[in-house]
Parts: sequence; structure tokens; C-alpha cells
Amino acid sequence: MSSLRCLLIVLVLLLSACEQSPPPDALSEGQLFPALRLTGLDRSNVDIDDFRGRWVVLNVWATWCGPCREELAGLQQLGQVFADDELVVLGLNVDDDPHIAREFLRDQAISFANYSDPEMFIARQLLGIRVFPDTFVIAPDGTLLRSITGERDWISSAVVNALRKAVDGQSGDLQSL
Amino acid sequence: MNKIMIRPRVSAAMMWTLLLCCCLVALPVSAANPQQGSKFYTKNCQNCHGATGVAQMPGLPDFSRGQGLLSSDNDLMQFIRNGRGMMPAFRGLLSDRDILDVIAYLRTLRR
Repeated sequence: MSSLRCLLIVLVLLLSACEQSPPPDALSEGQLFPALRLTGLDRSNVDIDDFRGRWVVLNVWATWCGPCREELAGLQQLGQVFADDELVVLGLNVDDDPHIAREFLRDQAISFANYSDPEMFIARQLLGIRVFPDTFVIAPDGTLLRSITGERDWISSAVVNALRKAVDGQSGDLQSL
Repeated sequence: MNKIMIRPRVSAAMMWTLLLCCCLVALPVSAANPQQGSKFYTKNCQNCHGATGVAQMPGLPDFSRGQGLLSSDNDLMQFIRNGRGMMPAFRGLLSDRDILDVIAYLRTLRR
């Protein structure tokens, strides 16, 4: 009977292991953005903290995500509106195969820095992302000021003006994005 | 003699236990569960699509009137997985089973 008990215990443990662990809570606005180490599509590594001192717009996207594809061109133009030392646009791609993302970006002439998260570990476990696209607006001191889910027109006057004010020291309008 | 008699019993018990466990694991996969879908809907969809399926934003389908629900489950699944227009994508964040549960729940919202 002891072997039967052991078997039952093992099976219960196996079944409980099959349960998916709950995803972490989404990041809260106002908290420090996690210290991420990002791997570029060109396989170079960078720490998100290396961008301290500048505003960061970090867009999490995939080639299979329709609204993600739609807003990339706007993000590209947004990055060109601001000086490099004011605001930088970054992409975090979650495609299984970074090669697909590289080809897509090349085809669409998107040139802002893009990083790869093929296992979605950063997206799911560290950022608590619930939908794609998700875009994070991070202040120069590393504080997450806005998490924006879904597609946006990133070169609309409302968005550009809100970010311009933020760069100039008034971040209140970011809440309207 | 006793040992010879016990072993077949234990083996049979092991087999039945395994069979039961297989059934327990397989059951949730066999059919979409609108009650489970309701939980995912509340967490992920309600902000835009409303608690009763009446859209909270212009341009979205009114599920309470069956809008957008004439599509097949497969089409709706692709829509939810990959997003389109204002609709964000959930691929990699919700499993196919979770999405089927949500679709089953969506189909209960029609009044």
C-alpha cells in the first residue's frame, strides 16, 4: 500500500505542477521601471538603465500583432521629432524568431533600436504585459510614468505635445494619452 | 502467496489512478468553459467592451446584440490572438483554451 500512497502523492504533485503560475501584476505607474538587460536584434546587449537621463518610450510588439505593425511607423517618426538626448524610442520584439523581426523592420525602414524577447520572459514575467502592443513612457530618472496599451497615433499633435511638455518638465498631460 | 495476490491489486489501482488523472487533465480541454471565460473577459475585455457586452468606446461591436459574433470560433480566435485596429493582441498571454473560453462567454452575452 505504501507504493500506492507514494504514487498518489507523486501524481498529486504532478497535477499541481501542471497548473499555470499566475502572471505577475502589471507595473504600476509611478514606480521605478525594472532594471532590464535587453538583447538587441543584432545580439548586442544593453541595460535599460543606460538610457537614464533621457525620456524613454519602450514599445513591446510583434510582427503577428496587427495594431503593433500599424503603429511602428508613427513611433519611428516620433523618435525623429525629439533630439537624441531628450527622448529615445526603443522596441522590444516578442516574435519567436528574431530574424522575422529583423526582416520586417528592414522592409518597413524602421531604424529605431529594437531588442528581442523571444520567450516573452521580459514581457510576461518582468513587465506583466496583458496585451500587445504595450508602450511604456519612462522618465529620465527611471520612473514609469505611463503604460499605454493598444495602438496609438504617435505623431498626433496630442501625443507629441504631451511628450514635449514632459521633456520640458510638465508630465501631467501624459495621463491623457 | 499474499505478495502474489497483492501485486495485481496494486497494479490495477495504479492503472485506475492514472486513468482518473488523465481524465482530470483532459476534461478542461474537451469543451470551452464560459464561466472561466467570464473571468478572463472581466479582467481583459470589460474595460473596452463593457460588463454586458455593450461597448464603452465608439466603433466597437455590441456583443449584447450579437454584433461581431457571426464569425466562426476560429476566426474570432485569430482576431483575439493577433489583434486588429483598436483591438490589441493576446497571443502568448492567453492560451488557446483561455481564448475559446472567452469566445464561449461572448456568445452568452447576446440578449
